[in-house]
Amino acid sequence: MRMRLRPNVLAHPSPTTGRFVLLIVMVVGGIGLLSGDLIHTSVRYRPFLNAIRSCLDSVPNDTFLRSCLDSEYRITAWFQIGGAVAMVALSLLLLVLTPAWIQRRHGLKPATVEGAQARVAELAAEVGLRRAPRIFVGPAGQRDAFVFGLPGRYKLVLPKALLVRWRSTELFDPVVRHELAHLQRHDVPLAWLAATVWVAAIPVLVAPMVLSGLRLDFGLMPDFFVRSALLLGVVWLVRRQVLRSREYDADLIASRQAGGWRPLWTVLQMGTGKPRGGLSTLISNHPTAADRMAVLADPARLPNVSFVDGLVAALLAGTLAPVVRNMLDNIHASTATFLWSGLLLGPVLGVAVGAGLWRQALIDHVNGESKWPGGVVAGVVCGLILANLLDFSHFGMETGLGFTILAVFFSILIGAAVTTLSASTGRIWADAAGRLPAGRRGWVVGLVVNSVFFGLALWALQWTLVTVQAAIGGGVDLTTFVIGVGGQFGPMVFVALVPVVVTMVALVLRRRVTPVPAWLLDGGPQTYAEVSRRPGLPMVLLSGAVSGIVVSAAIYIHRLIAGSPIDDDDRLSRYLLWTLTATFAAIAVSFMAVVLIPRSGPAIGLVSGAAAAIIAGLAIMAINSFVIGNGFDLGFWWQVTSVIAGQWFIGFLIVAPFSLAMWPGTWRDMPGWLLGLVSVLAAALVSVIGVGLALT
Amino acid sequence: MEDENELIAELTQAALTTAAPDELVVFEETAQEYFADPQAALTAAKGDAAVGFGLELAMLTPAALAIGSVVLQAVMGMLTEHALTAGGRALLRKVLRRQASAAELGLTVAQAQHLRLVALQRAHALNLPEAQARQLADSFVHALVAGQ
Repeated sequence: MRMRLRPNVLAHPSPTTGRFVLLIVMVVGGIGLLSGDLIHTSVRYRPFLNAIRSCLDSVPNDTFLRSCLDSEYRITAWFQIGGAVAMVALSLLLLVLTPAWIQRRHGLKPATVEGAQARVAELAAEVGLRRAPRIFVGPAGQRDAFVFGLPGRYKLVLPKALLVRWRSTELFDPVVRHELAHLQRHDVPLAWLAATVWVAAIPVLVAPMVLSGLRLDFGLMPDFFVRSALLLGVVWLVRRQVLRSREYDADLIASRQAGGWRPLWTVLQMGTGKPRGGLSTLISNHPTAADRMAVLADPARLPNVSFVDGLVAALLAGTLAPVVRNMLDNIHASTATFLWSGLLLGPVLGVAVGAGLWRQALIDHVNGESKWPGGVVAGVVCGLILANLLDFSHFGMETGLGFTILAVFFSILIGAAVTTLSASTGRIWADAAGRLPAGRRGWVVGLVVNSVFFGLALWALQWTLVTVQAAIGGGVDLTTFVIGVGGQFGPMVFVALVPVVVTMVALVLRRRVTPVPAWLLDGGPQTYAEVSRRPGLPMVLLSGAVSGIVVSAAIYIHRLIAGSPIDDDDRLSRYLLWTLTATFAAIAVSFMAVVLIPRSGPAIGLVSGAAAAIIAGLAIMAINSFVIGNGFDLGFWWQVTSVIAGQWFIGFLIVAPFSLAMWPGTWRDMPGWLLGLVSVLAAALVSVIGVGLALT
Repeated sequence: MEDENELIAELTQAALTTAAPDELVVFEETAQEYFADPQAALTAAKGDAAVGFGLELAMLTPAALAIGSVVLQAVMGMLTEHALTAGGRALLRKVLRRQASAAELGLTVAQAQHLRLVALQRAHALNLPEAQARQLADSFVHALVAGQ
């Protein structure tokens, strides 16, 4: 029987840091920008209206209207930025005042037991804190230990019962070490900033309501109130949930620093605190002692990235993205604002969800487990849907049922696929753990990859929605869709670039047999983990490339049978045959990897499918230009290849979540020749069907 | 009243010498806090602080003071005529300070057992763990009859 190893779950940064940052950024950005916008509407309603009237009279057509209104939009942007700055200033002010408030509220005073202060200083020096926190005590009813204060001037509150037992190292040290771990991880400013932004949000939200009330305009109030209350409620719950997660990390850090987990486990076993259940578990700042003891004994039991984590992160990031885009648009109207807002918020979602999935993959790698990411995938999907329904950027405007349906559809499509893909690339990356560097260099890759990945996904979600909405508004049939909108999807392939590169590197790295690296273990002997090593990169690329060539061969056979096109309609139908056959064949290639290779299937399917789509496009063009003799036109080559790649990627997004059904599969390796064979057969089958339909 | 509180404090301090000697360092301030608002001292403040430990570690002193007050009442009712003539409270104070023999209080074995029972009942009412309740009850009786 294989020995169960203790993974070092602290080897990668906790996703809770990302969740804290997301929460703070969301409240400051979302509520601040929104409030600024609404205040602008209240105080500059008439000047704005006058500017529109004046521009409508002076500009020759709508094209110039926006540039004529630029200065007015910039004023709106200043109001939005002002709202955010007010939020930041108010939050920081409250943060500075918090220590004095806590001291007064809890009746705290400096402790006079010198031995205890000296012991805390010793322990603080041991863990590398530059300044030891000063010990404070409260009244006799104060029975818990906690830390508060500002960086560099932290204060440690100890219950008197513990303070007087400072010589009892088995009781005093674990508790103090736990609190010092909170300080090391900067939990105090994060936790209190998350609280103060919440408090600061209330007056900032009330301000526009008061201004509207003064104008006797109550139209927006119910909508505004409900959305704001929902958002603040979510933020409040998230703060509690994140704080609970940080407790596990603080426990694990403290036990590592103490050289073992048993002392802290024993303190928790003393039955401190009352057992909880139901609602109190949801709103508590601490997990139950039983849960903490379980994680201390076996860090692999650290709660997985959950449905709630995905839901909240996606809801907050998805809600904020259009608000940020709106603000950027007011500063300078451009389609690049879609990308910028995505890239600005992507890192936060990447850290909160993606980095968590990658950390989970590493933990599972140590013990050969395969925790199912279906919960977090569903959470991200639901979060994005809710964010689109709440849509703060269209506040007070009717968006229409069609747009809502589209938003829900693309939220499901992109949310499910991107999260599944992140989990899958994390898996394949974890397979290469033995060859990854320790420390920051190791996890920075995951952080950057997921940041870019989720950033591009947020961009794609906003951008695709607007593009498709515009296309549908113009009225499209299948032909127009493939020629026009199909090409528009080309840029979405950028989302695929990051995981493609990561997967290719990991496919190479994982080939060499290496033990679980020491940095990934919490002590104990090094041993070999069960790792998937096949297929390798050459066979993955080859299976895609050969499939692409099979498609192009089928297209050529069709040309031989059908002869030259006789008119423009015929030429158009040939174009559709090329692009659609190649698209569906590449999707089939991806699908084979997704369903045949548990866990890392989507990542591998992304590479093989991309190879199939690109090679099919290039090979079809090569045949068209050099074999059939239609001449070389680089623009046409690019158009056909990018349309196939773009459409394939949309299809890939649909098939990627199928891997959730295969996730628990017990086999790890898939021989490269077998993957190649089924991929080529699938591509051939699709090609035969496509060509057959075209010939009948 | 202040005189009685002082006596309760002295009796409790004597009991804590064996039951929780560590807590004597902060006894004076805790006793002041207890006499100012006994219920507040006995009740846990709202816990679950952010970035806390999730601990609920209570001092024994407030509970001991609550027990001390009922024990003192019981003792005063048991003192013999001789003890009362000798100035009951003053005598009790001397006994607690070991300036007089515990025998001068004239407590019988049955009375000592009754005192233990009184202390134990109050400890149970305060929800102290059984072992701690017994230890505290014994400590009070020991403080009153030691050397008798």
